[in-house]
Amino acid sequence: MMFGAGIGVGMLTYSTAEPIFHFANNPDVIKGLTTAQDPDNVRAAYKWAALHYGITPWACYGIVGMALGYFGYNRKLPLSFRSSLKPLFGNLVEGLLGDIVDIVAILATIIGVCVTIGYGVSQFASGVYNITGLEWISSANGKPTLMAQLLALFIIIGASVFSAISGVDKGIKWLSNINMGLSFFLLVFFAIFGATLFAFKQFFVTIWDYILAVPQMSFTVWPEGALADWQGGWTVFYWAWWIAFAPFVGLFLARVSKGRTIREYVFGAMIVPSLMGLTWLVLVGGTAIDLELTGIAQGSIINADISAQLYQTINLILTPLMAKLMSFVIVILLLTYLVTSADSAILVINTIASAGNRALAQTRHIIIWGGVYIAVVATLLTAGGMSAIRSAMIVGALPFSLVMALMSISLVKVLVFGRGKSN
Amino acid sequence: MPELDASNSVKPLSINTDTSGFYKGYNRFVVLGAKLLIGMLVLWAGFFPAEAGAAL
Repeated sequence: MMFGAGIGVGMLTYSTAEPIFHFANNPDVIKGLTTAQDPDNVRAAYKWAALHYGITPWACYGIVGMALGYFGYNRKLPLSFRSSLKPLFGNLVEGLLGDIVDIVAILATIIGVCVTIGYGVSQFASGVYNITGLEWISSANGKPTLMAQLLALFIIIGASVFSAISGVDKGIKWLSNINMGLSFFLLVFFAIFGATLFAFKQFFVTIWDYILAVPQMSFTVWPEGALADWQGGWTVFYWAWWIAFAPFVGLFLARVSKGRTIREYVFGAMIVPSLMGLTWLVLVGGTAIDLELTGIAQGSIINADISAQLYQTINLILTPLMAKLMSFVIVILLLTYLVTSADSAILVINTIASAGNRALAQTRHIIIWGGVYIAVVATLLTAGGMSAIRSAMIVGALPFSLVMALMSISLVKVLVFGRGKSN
Repeated sequence: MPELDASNSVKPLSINTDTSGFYKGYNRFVVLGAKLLIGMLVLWAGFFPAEAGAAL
């Protein structure tokens, strides 16, 4: 459930796209250190993919969850974002300042989930096109049509609202179990039919390269030129996405971590999911790269739209009938990831808006937030496509990045200097 | 090692909530503030899609 809500759609969309895009271009290629689409570029491609899907997202989620959990359960304050800022601002967080903090958290959650839904509906529509071949779903350039995306949006949000109304113990738990089973099935499929040896070797090489390079990759900012363009399009976008998702996943992590030590929490909420993400990247993305390196794909994966690269990989390793069946499984998995993310986010928003109490939301309020999701995603998709949603998210995540920094300072202040004090 | 469920007494934090409206226990300012800001984004992108698309 944690993996599905936190990173599932991103992994499904980018497990092929991320390594494949970086295999074609990354900062090492721009600097002339490696050659695009050459075997010597594979390690660099995975190093940069790991920067985005390694420990960074889980560190963003983890620090928010740790602060919420510590102040909520250890200090017995309401499970609310403003509670974790009390050591810095005292009782000021009871008033307008606290309200603004909670509004910022809600806005970040909405806009972060909108990006996830935006990518999800594109890939959902591409999957349906791969199964049915219906012309109205896909445009000439391989991207899903606006009509197909809007229809997918209504289906997904409708299912999410229905699931949210049924509650965490019914619809959400049921869907989470399905997507966990299907995710495992997909990983086993790629382990059997994909480039397993390539992935196995790449897994350990990537961990080594990542550990050596992560400080430099994380703290280097290129101010201009092609490197700055690449960093703005990839790394900054991911930072914004993970920060926007942090209130949503952080609140969830805080709830499931009650009774754990901080050491157990760091291992379970940061290290384990990071390694799971890397496994996904090397197995699924590694198969795509191997197909390109061996000449079987002949550029068909690299040149496919981002929403269709996973399906194109499937098309190359299976017969047409089996590829359609596997595409159907992926579409169902994607649907469950999307519905899980959207319905969990609706419940999280209600929790934030009710001072940490999750048992009070009424059906009509869940429906209202579902309508808000449809309105935001539909209008932004119509106005400027995914690039508009991405830009709105970067703007929307910015205020919460400040809240996140303050939460970190507050937590350090209490853990290091204030243990045992009552306030 | 601090535990997330250890019991430390602390001065309680009082957050204003409403007893009626959307549902019992919600904070009116937070709910309406968030909806207002998102509503403005939707109206801007909905009524001025070209400008919104160019700006974003």
